[in-house]
Parts: sequence; structure tokens; C-alpha cells
Amino acid sequence: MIALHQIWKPESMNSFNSNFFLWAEASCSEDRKIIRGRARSSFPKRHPYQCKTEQLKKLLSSILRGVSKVRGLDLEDMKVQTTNIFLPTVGNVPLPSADFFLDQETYYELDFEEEGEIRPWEVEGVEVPFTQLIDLFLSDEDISSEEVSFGDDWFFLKKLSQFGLELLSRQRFIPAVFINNREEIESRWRVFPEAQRDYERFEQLARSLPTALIGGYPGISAGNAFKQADCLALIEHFLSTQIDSMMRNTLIEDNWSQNINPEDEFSQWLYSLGTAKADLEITDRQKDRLINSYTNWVAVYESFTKAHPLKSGIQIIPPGEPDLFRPDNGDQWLLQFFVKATGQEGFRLSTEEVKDLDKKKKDIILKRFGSPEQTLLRDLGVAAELFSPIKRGFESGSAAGIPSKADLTHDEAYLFLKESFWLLREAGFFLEIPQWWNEKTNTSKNELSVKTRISDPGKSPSKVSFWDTIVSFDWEIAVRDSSLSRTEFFQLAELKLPLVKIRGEWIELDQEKINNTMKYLRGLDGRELTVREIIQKGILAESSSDLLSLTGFDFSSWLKDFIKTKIGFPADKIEAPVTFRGKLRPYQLEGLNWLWLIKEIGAGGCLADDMGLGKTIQFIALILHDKKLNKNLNPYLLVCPTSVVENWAREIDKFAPSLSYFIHHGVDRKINTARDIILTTFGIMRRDIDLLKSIYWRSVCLDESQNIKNPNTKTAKAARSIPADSHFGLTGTPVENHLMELWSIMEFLNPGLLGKQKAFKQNFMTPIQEEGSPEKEKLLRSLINPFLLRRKKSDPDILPDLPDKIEKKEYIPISEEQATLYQAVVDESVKLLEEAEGIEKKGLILATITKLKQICNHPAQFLKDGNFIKERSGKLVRLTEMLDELFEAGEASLIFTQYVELGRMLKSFIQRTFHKQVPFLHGAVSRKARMRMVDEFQNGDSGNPVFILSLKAGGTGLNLTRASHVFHYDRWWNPAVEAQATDRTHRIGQKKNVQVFSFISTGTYEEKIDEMLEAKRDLADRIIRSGEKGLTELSTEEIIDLISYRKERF
Amino acid sequence: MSYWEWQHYTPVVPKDVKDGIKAKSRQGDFGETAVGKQWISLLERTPWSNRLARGKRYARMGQVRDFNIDKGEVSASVQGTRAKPYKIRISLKSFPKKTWERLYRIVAKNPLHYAALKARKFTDDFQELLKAGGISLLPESTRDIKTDCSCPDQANPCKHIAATVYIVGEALDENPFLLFQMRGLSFEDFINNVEKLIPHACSEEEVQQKVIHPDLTPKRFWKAGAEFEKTKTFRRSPDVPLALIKLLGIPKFLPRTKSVQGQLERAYELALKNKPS
Repeated sequence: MIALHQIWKPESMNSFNSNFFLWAEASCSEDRKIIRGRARSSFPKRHPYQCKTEQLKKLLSSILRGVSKVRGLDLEDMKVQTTNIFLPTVGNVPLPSADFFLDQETYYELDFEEEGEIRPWEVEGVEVPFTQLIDLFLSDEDISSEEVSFGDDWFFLKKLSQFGLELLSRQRFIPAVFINNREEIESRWRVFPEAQRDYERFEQLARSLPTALIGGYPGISAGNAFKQADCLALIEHFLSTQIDSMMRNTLIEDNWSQNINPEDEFSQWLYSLGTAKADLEITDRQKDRLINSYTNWVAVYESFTKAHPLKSGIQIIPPGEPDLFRPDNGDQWLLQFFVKATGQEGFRLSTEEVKDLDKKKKDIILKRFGSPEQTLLRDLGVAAELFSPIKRGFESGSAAGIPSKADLTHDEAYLFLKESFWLLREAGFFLEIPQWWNEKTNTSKNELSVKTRISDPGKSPSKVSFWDTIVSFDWEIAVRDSSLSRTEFFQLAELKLPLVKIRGEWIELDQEKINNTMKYLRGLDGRELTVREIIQKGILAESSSDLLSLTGFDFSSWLKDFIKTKIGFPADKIEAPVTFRGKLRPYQLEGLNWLWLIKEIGAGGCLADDMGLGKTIQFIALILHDKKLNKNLNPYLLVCPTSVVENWAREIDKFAPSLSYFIHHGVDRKINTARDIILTTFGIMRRDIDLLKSIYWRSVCLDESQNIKNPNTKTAKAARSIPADSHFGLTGTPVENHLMELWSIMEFLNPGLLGKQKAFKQNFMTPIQEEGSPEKEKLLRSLINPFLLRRKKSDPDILPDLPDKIEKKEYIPISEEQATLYQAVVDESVKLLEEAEGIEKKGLILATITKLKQICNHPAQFLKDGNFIKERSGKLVRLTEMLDELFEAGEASLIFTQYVELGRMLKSFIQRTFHKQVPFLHGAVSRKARMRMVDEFQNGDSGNPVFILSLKAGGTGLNLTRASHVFHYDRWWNPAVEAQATDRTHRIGQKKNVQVFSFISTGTYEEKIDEMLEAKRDLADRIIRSGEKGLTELSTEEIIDLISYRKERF
Repeated sequence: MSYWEWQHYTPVVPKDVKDGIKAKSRQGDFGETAVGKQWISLLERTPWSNRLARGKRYARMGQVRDFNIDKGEVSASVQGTRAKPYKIRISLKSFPKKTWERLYRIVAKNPLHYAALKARKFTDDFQELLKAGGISLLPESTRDIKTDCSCPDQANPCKHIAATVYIVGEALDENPFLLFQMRGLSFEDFINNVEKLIPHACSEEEVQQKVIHPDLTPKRFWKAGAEFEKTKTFRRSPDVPLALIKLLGIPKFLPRTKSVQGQLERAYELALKNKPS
């Protein structure tokens, strides 16, 4: 694997010519000797673990092949260059971007924080033109690759260019006259940020810039010069460079310049802004005139783009009265002025307060921020030009002459809120508007809304799904919580005022909306609709801008009421069925009740509890309860990933032996519907969809429902087409974070609830993801909440219910290759065992067990062929799935194994797959490195949420309480040893509970031993006492029975 | 224009100037703003109307090579038919110290005007205010202004002076504060002097440009800082379309031709196309 790096290299800060230098780290080659300690030789030296340019080019072209945006980027043509970059260095080792580019021991033993000095390193790479890489950063296309890891420098540039795109699409840029590093005049587009909203982000980005990104910056020749670099200026210059190049491309494509006759220096300047040639060939006199005129043009607002220490603000205050229905000759609308310190929470002085400052305070403010009076005068002079009623503030100002307030008429106030506010904000003023005015929608938050009442006339058949329940529909017009009489409403409709105060709330009246709504409601009056129609109309109205909103319809609480009357919940809590062999924790019982409720109303629900909270058994309890109440049910269809089919089977065996099930799998597949549950995999579901569709199911449940996260895949389409009374999904990932995934799952669970895919994109995805609309998010939540139950382990309601440690066995099928190898080893051993005796037999048994164990772990461990891919091992597939879920949830975990070679393979596999740094602690790791590994893991410094330990080395004396999950990838069979390892996570300070997963390959000796341990047989004691050596005393028959592979289920 | 004059005039083709100041106005009247118009009206009150038309033509051809305003005097160089450009001088009466001091006081007592001046707005109201105080920045009659040209034409204004007046008029359209310079004091000095009279409004200190240096600790070398994750970007359309053009105005220095005006708006509209799929 390589880590791709980018260095932004502008020719200088006074130049728009810039390139990206791409280079990559590769794993440290064996032959390169790393010398620790103080450097003796001179720098720059060749970077010791860089990727060869030819390989870099090859990888680049392979990732870029699929990206259509990157036009004409010809890698073959790219110049190979050698450049110096600056990196913290210890000895002859530069700090790598992750530990996997050095050998782990070196990495953890070098103390870059303490001893690191910034030194130049010679690296080889390619130069890519600015525009083309920007295109790549802005591309949505997936360029992830197993071979290339992208670091923070990549993601930083990606976000920075997204910011540039935002500024471009918000038109926050101006054409500029630019003097380059050769004192020549150029025409350039440059960014013109808004002082409040944009500048803060400029500073955030400047403060979080990954330093390596500018490590090859031309102004930087040594550590000292590096210190002087100004990230703020770099960010601004980067964005200007981006906007300039994008604008030019756009204008060239449009032939924009063709319309301009370049007759003088000014029109020449304008003309060249639309061409690729930015430098102007003009005389010195023309230059002077151009610069003078341009400077004069931007003079007033130039300062507004920068975060001045002090900035003026304007507050609009509505009159206390009158209320339309409580008329009174009230006060006027008012503008009040103030100054505020940028980026300084809490520093806000009204004009009155400025006037009252005593000398001491004033001097402090003057020194720190400058003069508040000057600021007010300067800024409000500009503001008055943009909104002329502000001038009145000057006239009514006190002797000191600083305006403090201005009266507004009703119409002026409306104009201010509706229009001037926006322009003033673009100009960089702080603005304070009433809470009830919504900036995002540019209208009052208090809306007239249509409060709908839905009641059940009892006309539907009792067993119909709640979607098809017929309800009757009534409405009234409301403002917040109070409703208007119809007379009042008509009275309002007559008013010509844009803003009115009703029942103490300010409302914007939109006559057209009111009229449209009247028409719409008349169409619904007295009609009977199904719940589905109601919900769909609710969404429809919400997304249509020409109607008053129908938000009065609170879906969640309506559903609660509906359920209460219809089904009697939650009065009659159901208990765990007696047939359930085990005990449900309080939250699991709650989960059962919820599942039952969803089933009863014929809807679909997603149980999204954290991993380890027992989703499986909650669902099993649901089936048991259903069986108890209803005879002769259609079967349940359970679809899950191959790696957990066995687990399901065992959980059913264990907790619900009264349920019959059938695993629909294998080559010759027929379904026996005379079972309670049919278990199958996503792959088989897709292939056998016609068969599955032909059966009417009691319920379809998708375990790990993120498998249908892409709604357009065959799997997702197949899942949606299976008919059933109710639908369920189980998942441990927070579905609500990925909106398209959410839609896909909801469409499976409750078709139509979130509207069609395209409408959903338009109504929810775009406003939430691209505009950050909290209203839409709230609405979406209210729609999905009734159908989504997500409990986190950290929830204060859940935590007390959980034991400190939950131990769970993961039953995992072995792959076909594993089964073949396993069988071969068993066959051979059986033959040998029958002839062996004494010591020889003991040795043979141990050797066999070791071989089988390696095979169960991964064929690569047994065959030593180096091909450690996940598909070859059931355990590795399952581990990957579980880690994926844990990474998503941000949880840290430990993985224990007995084998150092397996630990190494796991380490590099996880690094490769998840691009995360993974420390591996084993016996040979030095004390110093061990301490740093543990510290880094505990502090979460390198964001490495996985720690691999060899059982022997990691068993004692370590404190790894950051981890809340423990995997025993292979088994020691000694509960005491395993418990000791587990307790690394479990010392004082652990506030979370710990989940322990022990991997067991089904059908193999691992399962057999596990059964014996469970049954506490005599042999078990021996194994516990002396490990696998205990097995050597078994009779040949016993050992053969132990190791033979039982292929019962698969 | 008589036939004789026409005969006399046609052969006179001035020498081409490569980098002269080309008038923004392409046809019709000069003078975009009140100040510019008032300035030109002075000239147009004189009897030599044929010189005005030629002056306009000169201004539009870019015959005025350059001009400079210094302490009550506009000096310009205009290229005529001769190899050597003519020297033009337009002098205004510089305000005596007393007048300036009265001006400071008037402005200092009127915060609105002070603020507007700080915001570089030259309003009609401001001129009215000065008028009420008996002061006019613009010359009020031809008596207030003295013109001189090195050309052989006896007429005053000659076409060279006229061309200069037109070009200066356009400069005033762009930046009316040049009037202060013409009266002997730069606008910056003027504002600074007014500031001294305003109670509490201590002179603004130079705001230091904020600088953020890179974090050179090894921990941060490859990693983005803590704020990176929370920095959000949005793909959205402008809150106010063409806001910056609304704030800054179309640059007055651009020629007032159809092809140029409107091009900037069009560029901003084209920028909106830059939304990725």
C-alpha cells in the first residue's frame, strides 16, 4: 500500500501560477537501514520510504481512470521531479504519515514529539497542474482503492476546494487587478469573503491545515522560514487561485470575452479575465491608472472582507404591541446599533454603552480592538447607503454624534427583514433579528398552519394494516398553539399587511398561499382517506411552496394515540414468552414490545441497537410471542449475511428450541415452508427471488440491513418485492446518518413513507445535506422515529441494565477452502493416529490441533502463501463486518490471538482495508515502544481504534480501557487466561461496558471443545488446566470424534 | 460649423497616442454623476462650442495622454498634431486655511456626513451642506478657474483644454474626492483633520493583519487540526444574487459601451453553472 500526498506549490504568494506536487510513501523496503539517534550526515537526504515514481504513476492512472472530470490529465506526460520537503525527523528517519510505512518497532521507539527536528528530505514525484487536481477534488466519483491510502492532506484539500466551490456559487468573488511577483499587472478573479460567515471558516481552515501540505512551499527553505508562513494568507490565496481558474474555464467555454472590445486598458483587463492569458501588455501609465481606479473601486468594501477586530451590528426590534386582535397604538419598529468583536464571544456594546464607557475601559478597548466610535461611524455610513432609514439614526444621535437607533415604519421594517437584511449581511454586518424570523426561508417562523385532526371513524376492518386504515380528516387554521376562528381567518385574508401580530406572534401573510390552501382544503373536506394517503399528502404539502404548511399533523403523537385506541398499547405490556429460554433485560423487553407494536399495526420497523445489545434475541422473542398468540402462521423469512447464518441457527437453538427453522442454502435449494423460520443469505435471496416472492410471509426480516443501503441494487429491489404482513430490519450502524441508506431501508419497511426516491432527494437530501436545514431534518425525524428504535450502550437508560461484561460466542462458518484443507488434515491425521502411540501420538495430536487451528484462522496462516484476503476465511469476513460497524460507531477494540504471525497479518490487513493505524503488541516489542503504543491508543491520538495483542504478551499489566470490545480471534480454551486478557479493557476508569466476542468455527473441533466446556465434562477441566495438552490423553476414537468436521447445516 | 472651418479643420489629424486616456463616454453627453456634470457644465457655458465638439472627439480618441492633480492645479499633456504634446494647466482657487477649518467644523458637527465620507460616499446632501456654509468645492463660475494651453489656438478653451476638462470630468465621476485635491488638500488629510475635531472618535489605529502560522509540532504535521471536522461547506446559491455588484457597483472605469456594461453580471451568472452534478 502507498499513501498519496499532495503539496500545494504556488510559484509565490504573489503569483496565481501553482501546481500540485504528488508523491507517495510506500512501506519501508527491507534493505534500507534505519538509523536512530542524532543525525550525523547532512540534509537533504533521499527520503527512505518513498514510492518509486513509476509505481506512483501506475497507481495514479489506475485510480484516475474512472474519473471523468479529470480532463486531459496525461500521467505519461507528467514531468518527474525531485523536490525537497520538510518533515520532523529523528536520526535518518522522517516522520511517516502512519506507522505502517516504517517497521512498527522503529516507529514506536522514535520519539518525534520530543526529539523531532524539521529537516528537508528529497522526494521524487510528479507535478500536476492546479486545475486538474481541483477537478479531482471536486469530483464525487469514488476513487478509493485498496492500494492507495489518502491522508488528512487529501481530505483537507478536498474540503478546501469544496469551500472554494461554495464561494464561487455564492458569487463571493470579484474581478481584480493583481500585481504579480514580477511587478507585472494581471487580471485575476479573486475571492471576496464575507466577514462574518466566511472569515470564521477561513480561520478554522488556516488553524487546522495539515502542515505537511505546505512542506514544499517555495518560500520555505528552512525550519525558521516555515514558522513564518501565514496559513491564513495561504488559504485565501488558494481559494483565489481556484476561483480564478474555474471562472476562466467557464468564461472561455462561453466565449464570454468575444463581446468585449479591448479598446483601452480597462476593457483589456475585463477582456483578459475571460481568457487563459492573465497578464496585460500595457504601458506604465496605463498600469498606474488601472491600479488607481481598481483600488478606488474596492476601497470601501475591501476592509469588509477581513475580520476587523471590531465590527458594527444592527438589531431590529419589533414594537411590543399592537396585536391584530388586541389593537393598541403601540411603539414603532426600531433599529439599534452596536459594535461586536469578531471571533470574541460576548463582547458586544450598544451605542449607549459605548458612550458610557469610562476612560479606563475605553483605553483597554482602544488598545485591543480600536475605536468603537470610529467603527460605528465608518460602518454605519456604509449601512445607511444600503438601507436609508438608518440615516435617521444620525439625525437623532446625541451630541457625540454616534447614531444609536432609528425608528422604522411598518413597511420599512418588512423591507429590512425581507431584503436589506441580506445585502447588509453580504456586506459583512452583524445582524440581530427577532427569533421568529427565519433566515433560511426568509419568512416568519410563526406560520399560519393548517392543523389537521385525524380520527378513526371505525370504518376499517379490524385486521387491516394501519396504512390502510380509513380515517376522517378535519382542519383548522392555527398560529403556533392557538387556533383561529374561521371568521378571524377570513378577516386576516382581507388584510393587505405583509407582517401582522396575531395572538402575540408575528406572522408573515402570504395572500397567495392562503388562497391556494383554501382551495386545497376544500378538496379534502369531508373526504375519507387512508393513513398512507394522509402521510403522503403531508409530505406533498410540506414540499410545496405555494401552500400553508400542514405541520399541525404530528405523526408520532398521532400514531401513539392511534395505537392506544386501536391496540391498547402501551397499557398491556407484553412479557417475555414462557417458551423463551433465557432472560430479557429490561431494555430488551422494551424492544420486544416495540417490535410487537410495529408488527401489530402492520408497519415495518428497524431495530438499530448498538452491536452486542442483543438484537437477535429480541427478534427471536418476537417470533415466539407471535407463535404463542397465533396458530398456523406463515413462516418468517430471515435474511442475513452468510457469516451470521450459523449464529442465528445457534441462537434459535439456544433461546427458542421450540421454533423450527430451515436454512435455505446450498446447491439444490427447495423451501420447506412447514417451518417457523426460513433462514437465508442476501446472495440467495437475490438469486431465488422468484421463489421467495411466490410465498406470502408472516414477516421478512433483514439482519444487517445495511446490505440494502444502495436502493438501486438487485438485492435491495429483491428485498422490497417479497410480500409479507410486516417487515423488519436489524442493524448496528446509525442508519440516520446516511440518508440514501435510510430511504432504502425505510422503503423496504414502509413503502411510500418517505416518498419516491427522486422526491426524497429533492425534499430531504438536498436541503439537509447541502443546505443544512434543521426544519427538514426535524420533519424527517418525525416521520422515521416511530419506525426506528436505536439504543446505544452509552445511553443512561441502557447502561445500568448491562452487566460490566457481556460475553458472546460468534459462531462462524468456515469457507469452502478452509473446509477442504480441514478435511485433508483430518484425513491424514486419522490415518497416522491409528498407527501412532505414546509420545509420538501426543506429538501428532498437538501438531494436528495446531494445523486445524491455523486453518480455522486463515488458510494463509496454514499454507504460508501470504495471500491474506478476507474471502478465504469465515472468521476474517466476520471480523471485517464487525469492525466496520464499530468504526462507524467510533468504538475501540482489542483483538487477541495466540499467533504472532497471524497478528502481523491481521495488522496489515486492517491497515490496508480501513486505512487505520493498528498497533500490534507481542513479546518482541520493546518496553519503550510498548508504552508508547498503549499511551497512543489510550489517548486516541492517532485515531487507531484497534489494538492487536498476542495473548501472551498482552495478557497482563496493561491498561487499555479505551477499548469496549474484545475479540478472541482464536481460542486459548482457558477461561481464566481469556478473562485476564479481557480485563485489560476493564480496569478502573472503564465507564462503558465491555463486549467480548469469542470466535468459533462451526462444525470444527473448536465448536466441539466449546460444547465440552459448556457441558463441564471432565475433559474440560483437563483442557482448562493444561491447555491443548490435555487433549493428548484422549483415546484415538475420542480425538477423531473431536476433530472431524461436521457439515450439518451448510 | 461653416464650410471654411471644415476645410480648415479636416487635414488636422492628431498624432496617435498609444496609451492615452480614452473617455468612457462613447456618444452624447459627458458627465455621469452630479459632480461630473457640474464640472463639465462650467466648460459648456463658454462660447467656443465648436472647440467643445473637437475636445469631446479628442477625449474619445484618447489624445489626453495623462493628467495630474496637485495642490489646486490640474496639469495635463494632450497630443495634438505636432510631435510634441501640448501642456495644459487648469488651476482652481486653493482654499485658504480658514476655509478648510470651517469645512472641518461643518463636517465634524454632522456625523451622518462624516460617516458617509468615511464610507466614500459623496452625496448631493453634502454639497448642499457646504453650500449652506458658503463653500463650494466645485468652481462655481468660469471666474474661479484659469485655463492655459501651449497650443497656438487663440481660443480658450481650445480643443485640448476641452478634452482635458472632459477627461477630468470622468475622473470626478469615478472619484469625486479628487475635488479636495483640486482645492489643495488630499481627501485623506481632510478626513484626518476632521477626525481630530470629533469628540471620543480617537484616530483609528492601523489594524494589524491577522496571521496564523503553521503548527510545527510533529503531531500536527500529517494531521488536520481539531476544527477541521466541524468546518462545513455547503453547495448553495447566493442569498442575494449579484450581491457584490450591488455593493461595489459596476466599475465606473469601464467604458460605457453596450458590449462592456452587463458583461460582469453575465460572468457572475455563468459562475452559478459551476455546480457539480
